[in-house]
Amino acid sequence: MKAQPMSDELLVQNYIQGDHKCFQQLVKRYKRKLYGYIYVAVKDPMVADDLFQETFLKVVTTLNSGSYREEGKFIQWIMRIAHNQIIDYFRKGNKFPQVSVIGNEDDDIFAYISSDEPNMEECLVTDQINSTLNYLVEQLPDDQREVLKMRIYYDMSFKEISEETNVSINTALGRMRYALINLRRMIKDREEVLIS
Amino acid sequence: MREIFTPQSLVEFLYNNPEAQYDEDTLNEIFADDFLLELFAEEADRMLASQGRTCEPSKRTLLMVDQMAAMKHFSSANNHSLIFVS
Repeated sequence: MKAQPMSDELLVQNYIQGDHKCFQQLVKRYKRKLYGYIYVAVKDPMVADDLFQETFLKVVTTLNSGSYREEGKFIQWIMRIAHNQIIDYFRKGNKFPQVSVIGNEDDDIFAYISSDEPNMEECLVTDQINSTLNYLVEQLPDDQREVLKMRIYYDMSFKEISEETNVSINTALGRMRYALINLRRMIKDREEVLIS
Repeated sequence: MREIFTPQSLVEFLYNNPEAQYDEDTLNEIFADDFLLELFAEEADRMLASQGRTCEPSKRTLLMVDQMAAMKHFSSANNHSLIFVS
């Protein structure tokens, strides 16, 4: 007997709870329809790829932020996001930076010329680094986190920190040192997880 | 009276017509209709055929999307332990 395919709702819920394969199934299920709609609108495979990617970036961000509200079908929701992306694209006057690749008709990410504005990948990486770093800082013991935030985020001197926290300068320096050691260790552990 | 659109004329109407006024509910109906969305995919297939392509995002795009989804999960994972304390 053939198993029934999982509903979109269940795939979304499972993805939110950590099952990455469910997200892959959603992409597989809708990539053709979504890409087809975007491509017919913009008529450029590279732009269509970019908008497809931007659409799923918003989908992923919304799902992981916990702000997704199930109203209507999942496909309806992602098509809405794509629709808004297409409107933004045309509002910008079709000014996506791109050049044709001589002698190569294939879509090639390197055909995009550089721009002063960070691209989607750079934004994603920066966002990821900030989010990871903030998370790691929050894992530090209270006294270390306090000193680190005062020093790095508020640019306070160790003298000011020692006065603010009622400890000696040496203690403040020691806490900062341990905070950095712990952060390095956590980053190293995380890299090992990423590699494995 | 309802206008009759093809995939091409609908996107022309929606995105290349500053005066376009469309019914949001109708748009939602289109986005929820598998048959109509498949018409767009077939139209894209037809348009992309001259480039030897089909209606499919590039492999790199699909890989990026997959990595985004995986990374977002990883960032929320709670798997750290502290060793040093002051």
